[in-house]
Amino acid sequence: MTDRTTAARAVVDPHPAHPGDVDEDGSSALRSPVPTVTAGLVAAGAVTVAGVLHLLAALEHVQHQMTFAVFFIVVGLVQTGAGAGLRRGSTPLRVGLGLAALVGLVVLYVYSRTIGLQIGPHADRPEDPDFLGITVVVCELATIAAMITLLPDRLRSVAGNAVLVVGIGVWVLWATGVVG
Amino acid sequence: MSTRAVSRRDLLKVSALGAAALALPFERVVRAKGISRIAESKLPKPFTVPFVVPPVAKPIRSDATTDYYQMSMRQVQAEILPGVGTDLFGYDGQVPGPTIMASQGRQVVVRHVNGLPAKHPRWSYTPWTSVHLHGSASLPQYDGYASDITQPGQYKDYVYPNMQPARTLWYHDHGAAHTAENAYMGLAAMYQLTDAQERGLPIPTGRYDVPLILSDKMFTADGQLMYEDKSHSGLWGDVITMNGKPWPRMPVERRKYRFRILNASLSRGFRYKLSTGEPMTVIATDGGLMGAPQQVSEIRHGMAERYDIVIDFAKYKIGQRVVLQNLGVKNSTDYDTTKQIMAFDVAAEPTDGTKNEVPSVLNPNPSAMGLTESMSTATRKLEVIRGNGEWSVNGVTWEQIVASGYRKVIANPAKDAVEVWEITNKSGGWFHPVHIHLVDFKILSRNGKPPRPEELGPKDVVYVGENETVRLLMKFEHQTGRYMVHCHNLPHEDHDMMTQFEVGTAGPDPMTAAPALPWTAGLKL
Ligand SMILES: [Cu+2]
Repeated sequence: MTDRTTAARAVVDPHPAHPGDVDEDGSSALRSPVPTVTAGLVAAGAVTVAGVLHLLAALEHVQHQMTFAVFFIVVGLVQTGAGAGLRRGSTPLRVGLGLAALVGLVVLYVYSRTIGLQIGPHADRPEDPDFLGITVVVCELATIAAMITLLPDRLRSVAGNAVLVVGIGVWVLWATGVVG
Repeated sequence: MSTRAVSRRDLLKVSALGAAALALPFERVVRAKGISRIAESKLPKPFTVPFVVPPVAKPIRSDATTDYYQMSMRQVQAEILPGVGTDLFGYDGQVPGPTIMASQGRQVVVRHVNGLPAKHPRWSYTPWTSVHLHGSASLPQYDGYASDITQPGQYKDYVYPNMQPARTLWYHDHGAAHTAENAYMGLAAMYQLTDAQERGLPIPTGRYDVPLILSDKMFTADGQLMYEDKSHSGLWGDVITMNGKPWPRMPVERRKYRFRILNASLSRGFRYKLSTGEPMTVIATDGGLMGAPQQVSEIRHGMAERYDIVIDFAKYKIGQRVVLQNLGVKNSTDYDTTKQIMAFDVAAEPTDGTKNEVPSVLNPNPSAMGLTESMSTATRKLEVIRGNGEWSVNGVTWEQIVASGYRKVIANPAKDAVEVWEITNKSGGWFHPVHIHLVDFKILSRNGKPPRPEELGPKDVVYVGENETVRLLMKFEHQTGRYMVHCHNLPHEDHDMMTQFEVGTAGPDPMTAAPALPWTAGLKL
């Protein structure tokens, strides 16, 4: 598996693991120890679910908090769009931008549930964790993991490390009492 | 083509962020000892703040039949927490508002001026108001009909007949969709109606007859009231205020006291117990004196209910402290700080030994309690429901009442009809104190079993607990017209567990019979 294909190629083939398919190193996919779905499909699926849930959340907020509703609609549309895009294929640049945006959204979620946004219906306190929010975040985390995999080797490692640093950073902020 | 799977290494790299996103919000919730955002050091230690009694309202004039009052609802800054200024809405600028003292047979007229700001300073809704005198069989146009609103800059004169027996009433805001915020901001106060029968009893009176108005609050970091009702499930604050003071201490004499306890909280139910384990004597409920006093060691108190109790401090030594504790009820979020309410410090020998008894018969003529099921001509079923994020009664919301031009009703009893109303709550996740306007009722049963001992008096709010069906018996007397029935968990009421019934057919219209008018200073009452 030396020839790591680009993310675009990785998602072009819709049936990569058919029994009998021959992998690039010549071994049968049947011998692969773990059955896998391509990272591209995981990313596309998970980000689409996150997008749809954001649109649902927008409906919930539309009556009392327009700013939130608009934000959720924008995020929902971008995410469902990205889901469709990922299914067609993508470039490392787009994947990188998507990763940055998703990590940003997860950090924003942590912020809203620990420190609290200073606007909106919960202006004076952090929101409590809720089922919808948790589901969205799990989908986004799955998308992040899958999208890292889509990147060419060098970038994949850089992106993974960057996400790791952000994660550790959040914990450091928590340990020092800034978060929470 | 690689069948790229997410590698363990990538997962590990994401897991730091993942663990933070999933764990930290819960960690914050679990760690929270309260919900207020204000520094803990700003909260007083329990039983350090002196107990106060709300001021008594003075009529601006009286004639042969009527006492006239005038009060302006105003935004004020007051101290709930010592040294912290908090913006509140108060009747006459007071929180709780001034107590009105009325006597059976003498009418009271209150001119309520809405002097509130055009917008709530932080929650940016328009604080229109409608004043409900809870416990009074007032005409529909004076009953605080939710949509009969008084806008800021308007006033309305309310006429109260006071023909009912002695009781503890309260007046509070009932404005459509913002009752919870307005009441939470402080628009609530007591109203005491007395009669000859009650005055003839040897029960504590005067300074030994003490209002206790309970309300829980939560505070923002800068000391303002914080409003968080968990998607309209309820607001459960971590600061317990009694007559507007947090966990106060009251010095008492070694004798009996009558306490009129009003739970003016939006959503919090209480279960009282004395720290000494001694019983309390319940002498009156929402609709006035019980037939006979009830000795209880615990009292469960839903929102808007009133229980008048007698505590005898004669059995304690001077220097002893008796704490009124809260054991909590199901589906009211409790914190460490909500387990105690106030302290009575036994401080002196009685300075007045008269009116220091609780006779075994309090009320030989207990109106609603004299009704029997055989008088009933109809049985109606009401179900309190949550569906699609909205609360409703039988699926009917106030929005639908409004959409019907205020004509839709869920029941239309004839004047003086006696009926059984069966209220069902199929949920185990909520309780609903249901208030039926106009009437006093008798609680027949709760899931087929007798009501609690403290409920053995005339009531106008009933605690409909989890998975309960409560049967009530009532007579639709005194007035005709349309009256509200709703849950007294105020976020439930506002969203939108409120509907109406109509007594008879020709009653006055609550919206048009006496609408609010523009206010000009100096207008004579
Ligand atoms: Cu309710």
